[in-house]
Amino acid sequence: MASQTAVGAGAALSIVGIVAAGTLAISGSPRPAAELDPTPGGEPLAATVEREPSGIPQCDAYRSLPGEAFGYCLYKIAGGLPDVASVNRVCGLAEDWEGECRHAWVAGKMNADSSFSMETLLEVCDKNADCSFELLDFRPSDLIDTQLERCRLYAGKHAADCTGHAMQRWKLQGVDEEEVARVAAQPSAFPRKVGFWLAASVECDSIGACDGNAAVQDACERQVEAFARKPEQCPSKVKAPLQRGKTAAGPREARAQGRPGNGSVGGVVGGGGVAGGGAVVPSPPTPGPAPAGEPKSQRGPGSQRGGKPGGGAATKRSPPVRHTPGTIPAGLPPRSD
Amino acid sequence: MHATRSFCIATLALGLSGAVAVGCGQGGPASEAASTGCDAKAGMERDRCVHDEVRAIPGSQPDEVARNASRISDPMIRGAAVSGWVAEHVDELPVEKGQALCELLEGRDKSYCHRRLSSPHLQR
Repeated sequence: MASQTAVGAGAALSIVGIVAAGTLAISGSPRPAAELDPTPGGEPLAATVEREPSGIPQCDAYRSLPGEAFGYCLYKIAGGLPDVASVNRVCGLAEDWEGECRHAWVAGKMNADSSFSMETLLEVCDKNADCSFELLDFRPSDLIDTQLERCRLYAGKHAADCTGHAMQRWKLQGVDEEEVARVAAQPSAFPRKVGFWLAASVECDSIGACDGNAAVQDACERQVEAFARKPEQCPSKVKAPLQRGKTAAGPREARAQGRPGNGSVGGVVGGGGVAGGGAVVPSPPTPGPAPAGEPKSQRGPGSQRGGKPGGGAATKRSPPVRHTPGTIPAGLPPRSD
Repeated sequence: MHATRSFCIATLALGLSGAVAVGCGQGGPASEAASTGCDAKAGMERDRCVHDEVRAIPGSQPDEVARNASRISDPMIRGAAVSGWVAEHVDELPVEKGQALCELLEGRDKSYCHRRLSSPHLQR
């Protein structure tokens, strides 16, 4: 709970307002806020708050200042924090900017070369669904089942979009009849997202059939009808250029190489991109109407509170991204958001 | 656009909210057009006051945000004001207006501000 102190210079009068409790107490006290108001020779009355020092002088200059400058400053420096413990401690002080602070740090560690595991980074993202979504999009699992499960567990309000992106990648790998049948048989929290891309294989590429899990099959069949009516709405089969260092091995090649699942495609059509100085941009929602009965995405990041501050930090996306086979994050608890 | 002021005004206002303001304006940039209670404050207190004014601007007035943000001397407080305002009003912002505001930011925050404007999943 933050307390606010306003000090009348002459009388050394401090007014301590316990904001959350809505109470106001007045007491005599020394001037705790002298450093806040640089008025030379003046006798300022300045409001202050008491916060734990971050240990970062640049930001601690704002520590006593009410408002969000202290948290914003911590978010701005988050990319340089050395380890997870530092992130948890420093970002934990960032108040409304905590989610963005965490995102800013994770954004700089998304590259597979960063030595930080998906599990670790997803834990650092914590409740910032945009952070998790961006991470899942940037470093997708080679295994579609793992990716879909991670989307469900960690992408929060963006889980439907994350599922769509995963299925789009899966489709672009080049799937065969067996793989279509296997995926169609899996239950999904977002059957219309899955069904859309299954239908793209079935109707647009004439590969496989919708038969499978009831909800997924229903969604697939409906979309097959839609594609049959309007074939021009079939998704593009053209892959965006792959990132350097990536392979385009699809399921067939992967199986031939003894590697299960899909090779990850970096450039999903309409998928992740780089914006404004290297920010990784998860793509817009995949085509198809928002599934009825499936959760719709809500506000963007930062929406842990009402109008939450801006996005996390962007870091340069290093060209050679090498995907390692994904593993199901068994050690992580399901996300609550 | 900016005028350098050299004045000292002391006011004391102790309202129901417990807000107290006394200060000397001195040499900080200030909008000629805007003359608010914030100008009675100084330094970071003044910047914070303008920050709060910015955050209270309705989503339909992005130009007002840019104008007022320029009155904030401290880059951290200015960044928090602009970045937070864009995040809160991204749904209402015309793209070009939002981009102009993002350009007021620095570094990765600028990048993510633009990303926010261009990513549909962040606008719902």
